[in-house]
Amino acid sequence: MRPPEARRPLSMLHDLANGMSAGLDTGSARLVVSAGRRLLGVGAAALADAEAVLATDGTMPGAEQLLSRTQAVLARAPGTAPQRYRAGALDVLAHPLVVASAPVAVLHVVAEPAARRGDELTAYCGLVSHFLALAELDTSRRLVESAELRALRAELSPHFLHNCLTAISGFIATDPEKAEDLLSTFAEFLRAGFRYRTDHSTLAQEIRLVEIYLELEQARFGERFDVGLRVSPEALSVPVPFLTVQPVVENAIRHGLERRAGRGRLRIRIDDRGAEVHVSVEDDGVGTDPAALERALAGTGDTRHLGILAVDERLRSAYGPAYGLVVATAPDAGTLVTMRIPKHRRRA
Amino acid sequence: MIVALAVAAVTVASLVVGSLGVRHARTTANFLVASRAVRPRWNAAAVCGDTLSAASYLGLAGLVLAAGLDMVWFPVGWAAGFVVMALFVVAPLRRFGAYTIPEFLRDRLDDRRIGRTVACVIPIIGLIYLLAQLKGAGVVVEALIGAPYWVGVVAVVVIVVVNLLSGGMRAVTSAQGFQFILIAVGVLVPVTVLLAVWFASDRPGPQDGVPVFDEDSAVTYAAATTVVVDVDTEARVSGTIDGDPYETAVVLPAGQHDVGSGTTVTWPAGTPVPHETTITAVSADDWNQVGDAGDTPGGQATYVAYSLLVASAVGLAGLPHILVRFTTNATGGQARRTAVIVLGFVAVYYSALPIYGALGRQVAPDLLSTGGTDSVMLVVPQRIVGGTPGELLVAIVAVGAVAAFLSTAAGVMIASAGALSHDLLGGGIRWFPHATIAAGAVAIPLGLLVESVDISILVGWSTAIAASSITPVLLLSLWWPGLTATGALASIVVGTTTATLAVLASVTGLSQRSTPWLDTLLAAPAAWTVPLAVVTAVVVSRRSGRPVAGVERMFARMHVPDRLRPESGPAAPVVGHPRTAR
Repeated sequence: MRPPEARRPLSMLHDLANGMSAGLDTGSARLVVSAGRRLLGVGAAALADAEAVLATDGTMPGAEQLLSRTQAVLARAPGTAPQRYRAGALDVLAHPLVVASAPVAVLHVVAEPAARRGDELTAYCGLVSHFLALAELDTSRRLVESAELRALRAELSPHFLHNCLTAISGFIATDPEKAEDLLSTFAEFLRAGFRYRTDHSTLAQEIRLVEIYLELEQARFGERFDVGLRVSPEALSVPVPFLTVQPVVENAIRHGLERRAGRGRLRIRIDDRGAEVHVSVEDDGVGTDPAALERALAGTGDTRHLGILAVDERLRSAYGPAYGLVVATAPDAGTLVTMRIPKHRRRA
Repeated sequence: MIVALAVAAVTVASLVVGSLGVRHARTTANFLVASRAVRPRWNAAAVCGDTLSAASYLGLAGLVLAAGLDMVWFPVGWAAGFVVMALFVVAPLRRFGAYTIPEFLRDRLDDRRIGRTVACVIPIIGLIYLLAQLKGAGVVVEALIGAPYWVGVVAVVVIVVVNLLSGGMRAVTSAQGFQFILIAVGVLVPVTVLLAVWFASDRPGPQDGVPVFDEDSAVTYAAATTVVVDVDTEARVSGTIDGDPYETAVVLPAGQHDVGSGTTVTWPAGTPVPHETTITAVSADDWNQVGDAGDTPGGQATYVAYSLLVASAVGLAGLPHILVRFTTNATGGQARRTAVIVLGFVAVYYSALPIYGALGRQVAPDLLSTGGTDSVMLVVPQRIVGGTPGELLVAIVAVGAVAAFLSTAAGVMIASAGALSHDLLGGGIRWFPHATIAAGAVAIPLGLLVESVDISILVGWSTAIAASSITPVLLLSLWWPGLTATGALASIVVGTTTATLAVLASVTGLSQRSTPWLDTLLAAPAAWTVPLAVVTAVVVSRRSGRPVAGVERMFARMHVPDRLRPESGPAAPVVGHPRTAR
């Protein structure tokens, strides 16, 4: 029978790597301490940061003493060598965990044949530090992504906001009741736009957003275009990334219908197709040169189509490269934008 | 004539409803109506439209006619299936968010092999279920316009395939709900009229003993049939008996006789009905009694009843085309409410069906002789009412039957082709047309082969395989965190293989050469294959190491009630606030 500490070091490391993917907390600290104790073959271990003792395994010095020793080690930054101290009958080695050359926590181990453990302790602390660095990278990558998303989203409105306010102010004198109504609609739209915290929405919410947007646009344009909206009720509860339909509708109005002479038509269809939902937005406006649009979508052309560029990226990042926008257009031939949305997204 | 016209009309109507006027169509004038998701009650109607198939519609009444009240175990099991779904399946599955069963198992167990394996099993289940619908179609067409059996089979496959390809008849909620209304009317209205007429008129009460012809009865055998004559009988024969042509009165000695196709035999009043060989003559006492041994394969009525209950109660959750429907609900709670409403609907519906069988025993015992028991619902109305009103009732029944097998056939086809294209080939819905054509091409020849198999038997096999292959893994992955991908895979393989082999042994007649007990076990396998699949899953999971990473988070997602989720509450207008009245 093998001793327990010799059992499956790899699977212990695997658990450790998994458990630390979210950074250092009491749960992952417990993993660091118990895995460390076994891998290093020491009788007891503890992990503490500048504020508190995060986890203890076995007989260790009291919390106060651990904390003061921890702070002492952290203060000696950026040294990465273990420090040795005695606490009562215990001989303790303290080693800092360093992320991006800043010590963040200290691992204490009781080491009777202490001299033999110094190198291994350094190696183990280095490994744990790597895990911590990875977790941090992951977090910052996510931060960057959501910042990008926010930046793209912020790009969507100012033009439109300005036009709306102008349109509403026009009504104040002639039709104050309508102006009041539109203003509350406008507030609703803004509130939706500020909903940064959750990036998930449902098609029902997206359609509501489109409806609000269309009401505001119609206030500006009066009856310059007809809108037809056909929605399969089955599709309403399908989750989608926030702001996927409205920017496409806005694009159809700003780059298609607004520039056209005479009355235009806008057709929005949301169809249930089993495992997928198909959304299409069609206008009979002025259309675009497809080559120019392609350059815009590739990020190299003019930036007027930023709205649908953002939608395209959101869809691709949510569902994979096969699920980008499909745009069919030509000068004077109108524009048809379609997107496929899988009802179920595999979550990471 | 009325009947043919009505059937044609409903076929066209259900195709058109599927493609037109079923979505929220809105224009600038009214688009501020809040976007509404599908309501549970309407979705429940759609679930019924998908579920209530030719099996329950025609098959159940036929089984009750032939074998008696024992067969009421079938609808009891199906209704119990909805209890299982309401309690254990639909809500957590909806909260998980997966659209198909393969998708759910793949993501829950974090293993691609599971999704592919299940995607292979689903078409097997779907195909057998589809065959039951095709049999129903063949029977209806045969009974209504006298066309050969194959006409109905081919017509349904062609109609369904063409419509799926052209995008006409998709599994749209309102179309399926509409089908359910036709089905419910088709069962409930005639049965009410028939019972009223029956009790108002001075009919003879139920007979004791085996069924007997009340009066001289001319029975036409459309297909070659072997019947068992109980006592020496002098009957008028026009056609062939035992290979010899007759146009006269003949004394048929007790025993088996082969009746040629197209032969008409006029049995004298008072003759015990000569039963077709696969149907056992049942006395009134046995017919009325639940649990009699005489009329079940192998004679183990209790075992068979339990096995049927297990197959249908557990198997319903494993039928691919039904679970998909619940993903339309906005929340887990609404999905569960839908299942409860379905239970109410089917309770009324299932209670009406055995009445047709009971009436058929009184007025249409000749069906026991021709073996055409599946057509009893179409025959009874005219025997009791007669004339144009009778024809009208038959038309109502027929319309419901057409709605039942068209909607179910379409639903099963969509689920099977969807599993092949979406989950097995991984191409989204790109391969859907190819998969649809392939499924149709396989279904036609098999549909012709099952002419002599009872509809309910086909459905029983399909649910037995579903109950043994998919449901155990589905339930365990919803409720047992310890299930591993390896355990699930082993369970699916063991469950599918044993159940399918049992069904094959039974359908090819191999099992009849063994002992009666073994024959019974193979004919109704669910009672042992389902536990076997569960045990396999548990044992292999225990031995194959750690559970799936992140299982706690998935369980929280599936089981935390909707009202405790701030971010994903009902799809009500989250962006909305009370608007000032205009």
